[in-house]
Amino acid sequence: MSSEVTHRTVETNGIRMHLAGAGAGPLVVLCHGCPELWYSWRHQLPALAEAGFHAVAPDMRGYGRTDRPEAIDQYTLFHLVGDMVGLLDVLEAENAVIVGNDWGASVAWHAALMRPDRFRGVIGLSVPFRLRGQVRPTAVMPQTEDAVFYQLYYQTPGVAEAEFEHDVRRFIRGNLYSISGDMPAREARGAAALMVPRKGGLLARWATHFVNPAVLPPWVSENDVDFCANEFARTGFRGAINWYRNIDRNWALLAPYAGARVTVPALYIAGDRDPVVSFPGMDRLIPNLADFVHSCAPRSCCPAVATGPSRSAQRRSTLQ
Amino acid sequence: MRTDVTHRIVETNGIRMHLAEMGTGPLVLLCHGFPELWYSWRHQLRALAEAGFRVVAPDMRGYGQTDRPEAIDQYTLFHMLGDIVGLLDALGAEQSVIAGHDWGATVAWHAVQLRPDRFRAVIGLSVPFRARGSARPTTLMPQTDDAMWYQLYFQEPGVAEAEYDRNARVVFHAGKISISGNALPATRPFGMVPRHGRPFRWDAPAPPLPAWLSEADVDFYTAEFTRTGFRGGLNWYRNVDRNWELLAPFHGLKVSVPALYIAGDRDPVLKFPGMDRHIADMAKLVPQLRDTIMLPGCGHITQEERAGEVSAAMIGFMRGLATERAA
Repeated sequence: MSSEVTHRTVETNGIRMHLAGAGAGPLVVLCHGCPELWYSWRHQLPALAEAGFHAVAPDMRGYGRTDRPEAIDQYTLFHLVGDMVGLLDVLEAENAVIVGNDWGASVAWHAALMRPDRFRGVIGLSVPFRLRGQVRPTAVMPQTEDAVFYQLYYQTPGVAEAEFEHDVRRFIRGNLYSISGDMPAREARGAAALMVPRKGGLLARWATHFVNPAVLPPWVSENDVDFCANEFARTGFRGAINWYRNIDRNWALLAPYAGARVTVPALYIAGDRDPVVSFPGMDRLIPNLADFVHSCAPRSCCPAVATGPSRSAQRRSTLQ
Repeated sequence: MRTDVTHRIVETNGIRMHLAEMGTGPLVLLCHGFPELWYSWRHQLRALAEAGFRVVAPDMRGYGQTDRPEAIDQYTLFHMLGDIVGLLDALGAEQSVIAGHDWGATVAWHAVQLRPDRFRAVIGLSVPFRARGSARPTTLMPQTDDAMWYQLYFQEPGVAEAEYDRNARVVFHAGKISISGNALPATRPFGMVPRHGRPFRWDAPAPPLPAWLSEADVDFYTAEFTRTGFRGGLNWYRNVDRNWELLAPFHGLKVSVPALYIAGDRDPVLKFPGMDRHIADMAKLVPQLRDTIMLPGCGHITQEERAGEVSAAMIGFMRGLATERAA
């Protein structure tokens, strides 16, 4: 069986979507986050194929060689989950396991929430499933006189795009490093790193929380940086950042799911040095985070976990 | 058992919602359509309460004594579904049966589709469950050089309001009769609104009121809509394309809970383009469809035209659910 990665473009939910795929067997859909590409799953595609799965990693809506609709309201979670349901139809798959990292994890959790008949299992990386909150999300994001939470900074169209696109390669390279486990502890991780100064924007934040290392760590090469930088240099970041511009709209549209829980088997994986783990509220959401994210070794022995009446779908699992 | 309809306001999904309630027992929610009110269910409130149910009929978003948000995009199906999920929470109810008529039926069908954990059974009146189509709905609606489908006419903010707001009494007298089983033979194809000249014949002589509609009923509807205007109700139609887009995740999703469909065989909705196919296909999409009841000689206004038969069918269906659970 071939574990070679092949590429094609399909039509789903009114857009053209680029897919990287490998292997044959039960379908696994891999949803990347921001600012990433199908390429983020380059190691998982052959590994899952060799393990007997049909692994498919799309460029998500707004990214890479997939369409980038103009209007901001074309990037709601309902559009993104709709893309994934349409993808299963195109692939003629009755069901699939859905996996996501970062924003892709939100897509995966909500796909499992909305269509348990099509998504028979879910694996969330970095971002856990969150019960819908009582208030509009941007209303409770941190802001001070001097700085705002980066997701607030992303709300105004054009602003963050201009900063990212000013030197795409530098941004991609520095970003990959600065939110990884290799970022030196002396550089502030945690909540402070997520705030963007009102004066000077991201570039001012980068002065203190953004490192472009002389030498890349072994898990990422200059070629990898080139691949991503070339793609984003071509597409820009607007499509990616538009996902953030639907946070409040998503919250409004998700009202029918107030209190709803993910019922399919689920696995949650995160790195203990992931800045996402220090997002506001995560400490309450994952109260046992410190003892469940020991390390991010590639193997785990995680049984499918069921949901309890008082817990959301993600459950801690010991990674060994 | 309480013997009268009581009223109150609750907070749900960021709006204030007016409810009419009666009875104690298993909960059933009644969702009215366009352009109606909780009052459309006045006969069922009493009959279902007397049969041992807790019955709650809200003024839906945009109607009556419930809030009417300004922005059109506050009237998507997902806002409506959020309202009734929040309503269950406000009522302290784990679950309910949900019934809906016209647009309210669309809300009810999708409520059970998305939240079968909260809505354990569904009763749809007039509008059947329809599979999501493969094209934007407004692109499929009929139009000619001379006329357009009424839902296209409703799209432009302010246009239909200007007609309806000034002629509320005609809407609830002659207009209501014209889509009922008492309608006279139509002089032009149903649902097509002329592009030129006056869209409706507001000054046509009013037909006599049928037995199921009293002067007091016309007064009630007229007074409410004179106070609120029709904009809130019309805004539901202004989201048909947006709803279609947002429903993409649910493409092909079946209705998994027990269901009942009731319609009048003279309901103009049954003559909508493609509706015969939707009704024929329903059992495939709603595998637990217990029954399809066609009321002979009845038009669109099912709950008022055939109050007794509709209530009896609803009660029979809901009692059957209890028997199934006991079995």
